Amino acid sequence: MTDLELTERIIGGDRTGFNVLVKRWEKTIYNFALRYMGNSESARDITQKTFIRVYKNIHKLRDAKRFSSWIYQIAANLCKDELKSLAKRDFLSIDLINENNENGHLMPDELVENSSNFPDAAMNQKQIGSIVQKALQQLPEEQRVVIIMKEYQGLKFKEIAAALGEPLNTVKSRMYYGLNGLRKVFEKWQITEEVLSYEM
Amino acid sequence: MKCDQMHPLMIDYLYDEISDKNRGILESHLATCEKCSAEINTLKSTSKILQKWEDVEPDFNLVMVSEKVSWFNNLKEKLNKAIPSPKRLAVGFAYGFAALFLLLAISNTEISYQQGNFNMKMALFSKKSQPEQSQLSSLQVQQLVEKLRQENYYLVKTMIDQSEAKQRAEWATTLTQFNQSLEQRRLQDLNLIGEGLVDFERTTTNKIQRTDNSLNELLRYISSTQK
Repeated sequence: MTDLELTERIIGGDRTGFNVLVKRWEKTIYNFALRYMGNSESARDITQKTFIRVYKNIHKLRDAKRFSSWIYQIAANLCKDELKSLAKRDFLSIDLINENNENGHLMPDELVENSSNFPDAAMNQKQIGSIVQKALQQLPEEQRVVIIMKEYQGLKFKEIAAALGEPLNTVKSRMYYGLNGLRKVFEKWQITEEVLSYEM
Repeated sequence: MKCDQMHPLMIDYLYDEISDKNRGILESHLATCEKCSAEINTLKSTSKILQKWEDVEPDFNLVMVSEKVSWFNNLKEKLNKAIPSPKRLAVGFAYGFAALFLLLAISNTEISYQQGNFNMKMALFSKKSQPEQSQLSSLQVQQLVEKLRQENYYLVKTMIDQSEAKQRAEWATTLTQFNQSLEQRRLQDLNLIGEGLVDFERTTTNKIQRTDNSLNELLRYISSTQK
């Protein structure tokens, strides 16, 4: 059964297929939240909350074809709210640490470790993830979410605009400035494709 | 076209969402602009770096299950569905009690006629009492029925008379109020008419005065020119 058929059945009132839907989307939403939030604990939390909200509100979704934009919209809103909530709790954020750094770009520990201990060693996936994650955290939230949705979730720009409730040109503009922002961070940290190549 | 205008086209081009028309425009620009060519390559490179970060498997398994409801909550839910709203329930109970009282009262009512007096006893619960030995003759029964009929007649007549009197009084009140309201409107209208007439008179007088003044001036002018 395709996602569309499954969603239509669930919207129609047949909730038995809901667990199948969860299984199909669990990894996608988890990785989206992980890249947005920057840590696995929050990502787990957001993933659970997303599916709870989907379960409670799926009957309101008129068009099953919009399910993808809709679930991302829910996940993005939950991430945004969680970040606001964390900021209020006075967590020491990357931005505060960066204030003490030149140009506000903190060299990730993984790069420092790797270059000092094993100058020619390839990076593993975990290290790569950590570096790219920290680079993404340097961006303003609105640019970060567009980049995540485009690069990792594979959404079209129209779908991203629908999910975020933003005009199409705004989304493209954020993508452009986000990529440029990341380019500067990678240049500062001397990150290239070759540096990030890892052993399979 | 300016380089700034190329940015959205670059993004579309990078992710293969560009239309054929815009592709033509961008490629023409890139052919003549080194800066934009270099820029699009760095954007592509940045994208490739980002792609190095692969998806991870979540370290949990989500399963949506229905909440386990205790037998008590289950029963409560079923009762809530079966039992109507509290208001209707209260009304229902009230009717029920009233019907019960009436039934008990009727079933334990004793009507008797003794020594020229008509007696009636009502009780909710019957007492064990010795059976009365009074017996009514048919004549006495007829008299009793006739008396009851007359009492009924007088009762109904009184009710009708009272109702008629009440209606007459209400009519009289309504007519008086209507009359007063009409009178008020009449006076208001008369006032308005009066004000209107005064206004008209003032306006007309002013006009006549102005006409008069104009005529006098004209006469003076004519007489002065004739001299």
